[in-house]
Amino acid sequence: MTTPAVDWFALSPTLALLAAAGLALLGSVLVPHRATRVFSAVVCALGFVGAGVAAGLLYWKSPNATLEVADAIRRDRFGALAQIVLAGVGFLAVGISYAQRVRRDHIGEYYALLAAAGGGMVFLVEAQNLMTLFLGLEWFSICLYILCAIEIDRVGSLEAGLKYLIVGSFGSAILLFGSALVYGATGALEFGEIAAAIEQGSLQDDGLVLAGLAMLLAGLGFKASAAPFHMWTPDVYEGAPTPVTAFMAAATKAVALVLTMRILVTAFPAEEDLWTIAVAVIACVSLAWGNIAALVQRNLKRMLAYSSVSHAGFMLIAIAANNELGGRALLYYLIPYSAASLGAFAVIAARERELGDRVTLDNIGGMGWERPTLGVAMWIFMLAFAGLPLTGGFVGKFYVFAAAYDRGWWWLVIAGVIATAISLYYYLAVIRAMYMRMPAELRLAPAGGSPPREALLSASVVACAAVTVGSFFLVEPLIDLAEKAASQLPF
Amino acid sequence: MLDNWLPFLIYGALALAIPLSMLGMSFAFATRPSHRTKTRTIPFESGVSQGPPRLQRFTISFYLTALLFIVFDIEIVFLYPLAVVLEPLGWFAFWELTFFLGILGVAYVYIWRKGALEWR
Amino acid sequence: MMGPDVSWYIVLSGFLFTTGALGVLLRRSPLIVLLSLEIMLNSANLALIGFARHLGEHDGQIFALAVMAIAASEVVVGLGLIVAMNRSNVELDVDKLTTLRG
Repeated sequence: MTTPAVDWFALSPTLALLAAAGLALLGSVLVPHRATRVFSAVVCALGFVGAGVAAGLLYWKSPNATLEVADAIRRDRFGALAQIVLAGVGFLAVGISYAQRVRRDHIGEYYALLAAAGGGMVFLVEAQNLMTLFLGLEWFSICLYILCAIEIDRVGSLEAGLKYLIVGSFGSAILLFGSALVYGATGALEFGEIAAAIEQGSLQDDGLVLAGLAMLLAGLGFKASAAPFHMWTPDVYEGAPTPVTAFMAAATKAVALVLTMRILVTAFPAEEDLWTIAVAVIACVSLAWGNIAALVQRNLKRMLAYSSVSHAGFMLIAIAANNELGGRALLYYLIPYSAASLGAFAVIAARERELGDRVTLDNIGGMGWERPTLGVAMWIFMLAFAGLPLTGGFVGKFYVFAAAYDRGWWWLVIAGVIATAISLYYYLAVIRAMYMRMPAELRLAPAGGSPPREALLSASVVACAAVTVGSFFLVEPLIDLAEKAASQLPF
Repeated sequence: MLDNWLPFLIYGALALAIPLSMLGMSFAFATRPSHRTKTRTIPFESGVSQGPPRLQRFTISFYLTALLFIVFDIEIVFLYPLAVVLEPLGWFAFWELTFFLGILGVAYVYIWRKGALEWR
Repeated sequence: MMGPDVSWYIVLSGFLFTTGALGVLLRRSPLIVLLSLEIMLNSANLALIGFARHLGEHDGQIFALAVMAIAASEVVVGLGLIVAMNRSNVELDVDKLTTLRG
C-alpha cells in the first residue's frame, strides 16, 4: 500500500480556519474573562485573513486543476476564488458581530463556531467527491445550527436553531440518500469517475442515477434556500442573531451554489439536458416566490430572506446556462451579492441594537437622517440587490442574463427581467421608509439617548458598500479572475 | 440461498422466545391478587414498574454528560479504519492519528475547563 | 458473495428512508422528529454499505462510518437545543413554535 500524498497547501485555507477555531475555543476557557471577547474575535478575524491569503496564493499557484488527497478535493481556481469571497465575508462578519450582545460565557464559542463554519465552507467549495461533499456540508451546517441558537435566553433564537436543524438535516439526509444511489449505480464517489462511469456504462437513463441526481439537487436546494425548498429561510433568518443571519445569507448561499455548479458540471455532463431544465425551473420558481412573498413583508429581516430566495434564483439561472459564461457570471455575481447582503443585515443589526426590538418598515423610519453613513450604505445595498447601475449588482445580472441568452433561453431572461422589475418595488420601499419620516415623528425612540456608535460595525458596512460599488468599476479585472476560474471547469 | 437465512431464522426465533418466556414466566410464577387492581391493567414493560417517577427531574448534568459521551464515543469510530491500515501506512498513519486526537484534545480541554465534566 | 441480493437491501433502505421522511413531516414532537432524521441517515448508511458490498469495495463503508459520526454530532446539537427549550419552558411541539411568523 502506498502512503497517500496530502497536499497541505491545497488544504491551507481550511487549516487556517480550523486552527483559529481551536484557538478561539481554548481561549474561551484559558484566557481571563475580560479579554475573551477581544482575543477570540482577533483570532477569528486572523483565521479568515489567513484563509483569504492562502486562497489567494492557491489561486495564483494553480494554473492547472489537479485532484489532491486521494481525489477527495480538486485544487483549482474555481474553488480558490470562492474561498477568497468566503474569507472576505467571514472577516467582515467578525466586524459586524463584535458589538453584538452575546452572553459573556458564550462569546468565545461564538467566534470559534464562526471560524469553524468558515473552515467547513472553504473545504466544501473544493470538494470533488460525494463524501467530502457531505462532510463539508454538515461541518458548516452544524456550526450554523448552534450559531443560530446562541442567544440561548431568547426563545426566537432557540426556535430558529431547532427549525434550521430539522429542515437542514432533512435536506442533508435527502442529499445523502441521493449520493448513496449515485454511488450504487456508478460505483464511484469522485465526480469525474461518476461522469466516466455514466458515459461508459450508458447509464444516462438508469433509474438509480436519475433518482440520485434529483435527490442531490433537492438537498442542495435546501442549503441554497431555492424555492420550493426555502420554507425555513424567513423563520431562521428572522430568529437568528442578525450578524449570524448576515453571515448565513452571504456565505451559505455562495457555497451551496458554487458546489451545485461544480457537481452538476463535473459529475453529470451526460444528464445535461435534464438538469439544466430542472435548475431553470427551480430558478423561475425561486424568482417568482421570493419576489412576491417579499412584497408583503413588513419585517425587514423576513423581507431580505425572501429577497435572498430570489437571488438564489438569479444565480441558478447562471448554473442552468451550463456554459463558461454562466460560471463566470456566478462567480462574479457572488461578490456584489455577498457584500450587499452582509451590509444590509449589518445595517439592520445596528438598528436592532438601538431599538432592542425587531426592525420593521415602520420603525426604521428616520434612520437615514439619524445615521447618514448607514443610510447612504443602505441605498447602495438596495440598488445593488435591485441590479441598478453604479453597483456590481447591475453587472452581475447583466452577465447572468448574457449566459442564459447565450444558451438560447430567452424565456429565462424575460423571467429575470420581470423579477427585477417587481423587486424594485420593495427595495425602494426600504429606502423610502428610511428617509420619509422625520426623527421627531418616530414613536419608538432609541432607549437611552443617542444611538450607540459602533466603529467596527460602521467600518464593516462601509467596506461592504465599497466592495458593492467597487465591483462595478473594477469589472474588468474581476471578470478576468472569474473567467480564469470558470475555464477550469469541464463545461 | 436458504442456508444464508438460517442464522436469521435462529436469531428471529431467539428474539421471539425471550419476550414470550418472560411473559409466560410472569404468569406461571407471579403471586397475583385475585381481584383486578389498577397495577394489573397497565402494560407490561419489561418487568419495570411504571411507578411514580413521572415527576422526578433529572439534573441537567445528566443530559450534558450523556451528550458528551455520545459525541466522544462516536468520534472513536474513525480509529477503526485507521487501525486496519496502521501497519502498512506506518508513520503517516501515526501522524494522522495524532492530528485527529489533537483536535479531540482541544475539545476535551474545552469541556474540562468549562466545567462540563463536574457533576453539579 | 454471501447473503441476499443487493436489491433487498435497497428496498429495505428505501422503506426506512420513507418511514423517516414521513416521521419528520408528520410527527410533532421534536424528539420524534430527531429520531426520524436519524432513521433517514441510517437508511442511507444501509444503502451505502449494501452497495459497497455489492461492488466489492470499501469506499461506501468508510462513508457510512463518517455519516455515523456526523449523525451523532447532529443529534447531540438537536438534543442540546431541546434541553435548552425545555429549560425555558417552551412547549415542545413543532407546530406550536410560532414565535417567528410574518
